[in-house]
Amino acid sequence: MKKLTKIFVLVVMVFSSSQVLSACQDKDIIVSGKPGYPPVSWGRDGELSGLGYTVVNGLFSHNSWVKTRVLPWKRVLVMAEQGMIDVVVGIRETPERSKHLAFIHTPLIEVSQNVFHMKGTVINSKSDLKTKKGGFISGTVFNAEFAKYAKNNLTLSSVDTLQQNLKKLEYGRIQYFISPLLPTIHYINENHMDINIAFMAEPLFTTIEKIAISKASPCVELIDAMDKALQLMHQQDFIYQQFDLLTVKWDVLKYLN
Amino acid sequence: MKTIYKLILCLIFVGSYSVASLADIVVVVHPGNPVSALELSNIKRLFLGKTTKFSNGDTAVPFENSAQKSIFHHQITGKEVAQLKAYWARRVFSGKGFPPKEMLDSGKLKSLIANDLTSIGYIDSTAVDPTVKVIMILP
Repeated sequence: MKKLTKIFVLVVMVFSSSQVLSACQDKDIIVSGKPGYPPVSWGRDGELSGLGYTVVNGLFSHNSWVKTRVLPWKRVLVMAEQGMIDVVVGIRETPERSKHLAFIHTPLIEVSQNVFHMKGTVINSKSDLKTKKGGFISGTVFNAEFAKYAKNNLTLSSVDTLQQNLKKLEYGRIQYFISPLLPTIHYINENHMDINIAFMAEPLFTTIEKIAISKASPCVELIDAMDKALQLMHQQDFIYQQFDLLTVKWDVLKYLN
Repeated sequence: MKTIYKLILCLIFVGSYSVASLADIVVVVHPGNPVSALELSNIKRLFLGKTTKFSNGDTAVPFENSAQKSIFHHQITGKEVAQLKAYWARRVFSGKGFPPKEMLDSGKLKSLIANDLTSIGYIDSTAVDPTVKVIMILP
């Protein structure tokens, strides 16, 4: 609790120092992210919650007008381009996205991306993927090295949801899919899905999830102050303490044993 | 007076039980493993996934023992079971490693170690026999 108060005070100091009079203060701050990406961002009962929103609420803690909007991911990106969404959480930085979004330099969190396949399918390394059909969720951004490898060697198709990939895998339409490890296992467990699935323990790659501000939003003026505040949160271990709280009911050791 | 007597007996019983359970755990490897002793810090690093090697550079594969896990980690890594779960959630989420496989059956764990040069685990000292080699007795 002491730590939280300390962070709150420091965040207020960072913001009060120079840019508190930003136009961003005079409006509702609309925040959005992926609707099915726990513990970073997920939608329930018309509200988004998760690590991304806890952090954004902390960054704007002097301001009580942070609101979330549950939308399909593609629409989130389009609306953020147009400034109808001010802040996007749990987003990977790409040159294309950087045209319309300003990314806070300090990462939110690093995420492992792994290969999931049916038990019995032999996949032990990246090269085992070459002869097989794979899937991923639309909007997934690979790291540069894997993107190059995938372009030259792999046959991949995208779908909108994790559930669709699980179904395609079960019906043999794909032999594997690429997905964030822990959120995927949690999803299968939470939904009591009876699927004979396995995963490759070695991550295919890891991605850095960030927070971005629409360049069309007045809040973009605060990006440097937000970066300092986010750095501070990391220094205080605030991010992972929140992660712990959000995953406290996830039986990670049981999932993996 | 009777109550005090009962209380003393009870304390003696509880005290000796906990001393026995702490002293009972030993860290074991395959008898052919050249490592004959490991420092507490090495064992801690192995069971927290911070290294995958024995002190001589050979590959090490740690295994948890469900029956003694909470006492072992309390003594070796200083983490309670809930803290351990949170620790591994962070590491797995960001691709930094996986928790050691957990064995429910101590007998199977011993048998596994007896047949694998790379494995390391912990068992009750009363179960030790020539099929495994003790490299540490829990402090």
